Amino acid sequence: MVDRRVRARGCSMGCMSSGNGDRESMMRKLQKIDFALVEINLYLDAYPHCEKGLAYYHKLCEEREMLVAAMGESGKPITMRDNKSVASWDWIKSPWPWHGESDLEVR
Amino acid sequence: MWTYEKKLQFPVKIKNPDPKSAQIIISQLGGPDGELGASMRYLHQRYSCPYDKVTGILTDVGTEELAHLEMVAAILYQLTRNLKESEIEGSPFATYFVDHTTGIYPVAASGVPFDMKYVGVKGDILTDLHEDLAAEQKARTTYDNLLRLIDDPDVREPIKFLRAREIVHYQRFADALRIAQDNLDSKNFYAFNPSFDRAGKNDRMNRSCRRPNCQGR
Repeated sequence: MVDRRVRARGCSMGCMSSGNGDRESMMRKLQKIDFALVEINLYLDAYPHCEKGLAYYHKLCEEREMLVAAMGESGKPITMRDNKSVASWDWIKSPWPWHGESDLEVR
Repeated sequence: MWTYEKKLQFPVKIKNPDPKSAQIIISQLGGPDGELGASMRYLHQRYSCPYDKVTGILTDVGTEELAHLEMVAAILYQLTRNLKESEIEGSPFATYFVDHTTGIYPVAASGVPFDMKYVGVKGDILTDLHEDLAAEQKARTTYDNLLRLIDDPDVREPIKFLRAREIVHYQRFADALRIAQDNLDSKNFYAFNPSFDRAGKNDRMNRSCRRPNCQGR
């Protein structure tokens, strides 16, 4: 049990390495990655040549790309351009972010 | 949430500064029918919208209006850069210059600062969509008026693009109004308040249209 929880948590950013379908939803993972990106963005604006900062930024981008693609595939595009279905325009499907529904999470 | 894209929706490349034109174009930044009011209107109306298709239209049009706000600001920036004092003196831009130098501040051409009083959010999607249809026409009229007063093709081209977008948005809001009306109860002759006067409190997300063949929500 303890083992499983540790694995489910994955890396500190909640990246894909923990696998899908764990307690943490894909949406929550994306929120974590994106918050880290917002922070590193503000930092790099002031320190554009910081190697450590840039490496962290690239790692986050890689994780984000995979996650966003997976969300699009499962019918929950995060932007209009991530709508993967050729049969339906998933972009307009409820819930919208402000609905506060538990099914905000990608299943 | 939003992220910023480092590009204009349509190119703005103005060779000759012209503070006189800037002084009237600024109304589409912070005036009664300007782009700031437009984006604030749609992006705030969407929360009380009960139909996904219409929520999508309000979100996407509201987002595009932010891109238009940036285009208008780019036009103003390029029309007022590298000005000589002699070009400001005696021009209608002088009164703005006193308060804001050549910074970009949302005001109407008449000098009144941007005000949310220009924006209506009634919490009734039918009421709100009627406002939106009118707003798009008012913005289109304002762009028509600007095109009557401006000759420089560098300035006219982006303004013509913005004018055309008002027409497209008007058409999309007409679709939205039809979708909203298709979702009304057949007894709702007067088309009122579908987002508030609901049958059940707990079925908000699952409520579907009772009309046959209607896929709208």
